[in-house]
Amino acid sequence: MTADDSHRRWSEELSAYLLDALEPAETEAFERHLGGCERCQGELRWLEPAVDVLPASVPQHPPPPELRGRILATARAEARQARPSEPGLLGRWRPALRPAAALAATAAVAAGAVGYLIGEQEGTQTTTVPVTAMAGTGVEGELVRHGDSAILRLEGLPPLARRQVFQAWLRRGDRLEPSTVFVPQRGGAATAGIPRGVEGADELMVTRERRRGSRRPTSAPLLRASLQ
Amino acid sequence: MKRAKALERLADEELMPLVARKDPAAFEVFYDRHGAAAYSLAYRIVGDPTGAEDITQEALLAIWRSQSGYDPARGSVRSWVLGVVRNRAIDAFRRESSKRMPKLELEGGAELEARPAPEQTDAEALRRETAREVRGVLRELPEEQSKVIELAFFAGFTHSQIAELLGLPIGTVKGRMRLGLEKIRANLAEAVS
Repeated sequence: MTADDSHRRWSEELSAYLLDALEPAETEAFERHLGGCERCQGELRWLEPAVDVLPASVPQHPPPPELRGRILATARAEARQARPSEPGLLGRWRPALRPAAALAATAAVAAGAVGYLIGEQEGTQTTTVPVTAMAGTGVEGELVRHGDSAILRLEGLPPLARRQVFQAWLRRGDRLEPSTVFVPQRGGAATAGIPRGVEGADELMVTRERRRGSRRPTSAPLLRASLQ
Repeated sequence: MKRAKALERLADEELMPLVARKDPAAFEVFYDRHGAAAYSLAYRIVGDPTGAEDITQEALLAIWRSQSGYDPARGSVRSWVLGVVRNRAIDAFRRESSKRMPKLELEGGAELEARPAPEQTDAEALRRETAREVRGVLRELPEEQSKVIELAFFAGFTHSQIAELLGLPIGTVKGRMRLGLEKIRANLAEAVS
């Protein structure tokens, strides 16, 4: 096979690669080739803008105004939480609280942080559920639950392989419903919102899955949190 | 109020370091610039307003919470944001709509004209003008080329899945992707020159 033949073969993959339409193994093989092929790199640079403009081609729908309120309220709550030395919330209360009360305060702040998930649900109770990690994983965390939604806060998550994600699942009896897909920050910490479906579920589980998530778990759960 | 005005004058690339430092006022400006485009792309992919809201929330808050932040080497802020939204929307589409066929037609600009979002800045006006041009370019593609591009980009199918769906050899699917992208690219180059 000549160099031209080889290049032609890979060149045919280029558009599918740019459109994210290659299988994972094909993507890895193409990226290995791309690293050493200046012709493919040049073609990629030329074609890339054609893919970049595709999102702009969709009809524009104004988002509901409540969405803005929910997202920005969450950001403001998290910004306050990230700066405990500033007056307000935990920074002001923590020194005077015993551990149990501090946990409740944390839950209350976290409930503020997930306000976007839960809206204004007067009278809905917020509860914090401990996470039970599978032996040997070293994962710690909690699930702050409010009505039909929750936020999962985890630390010590193990590293993921390339093109893997963590995926949350809600179990109802023997039925598993796929939920949020997330990746941890450096150091293994992660915060993931469970936007709906918590009400009536028996348990939340987290597994490792391929990058786009799965319809059914393909690995053993790393952790569980009882929702009953 | 003065600070809010000052933030609004910042370019996207100047705003993002403030967002990375968890400045809620900067994030508010960021939302006002990119929220509608994010929601529209999510809506296009998942096809329902509730799902689009969930995805927009998840994607924009993931950006807000991201430790690594925006890297200018990845392209424009808008492209980066929409890339994050697209990945999440495709995830949701795949998980929740396995039996639903994606919309194949390229949608026209009528809906855009009927429900315009406010053009708050020159940059936004330019983006909307670009969007109109791109829709024109896409409409000019032969249907066989636009269909494979739509199935890959907006529905998240791989080339082999598309080949199966359309009853075509994989080579034909790849060829149509290539021809379609080449035409879009050539038209973009013409529009710029």
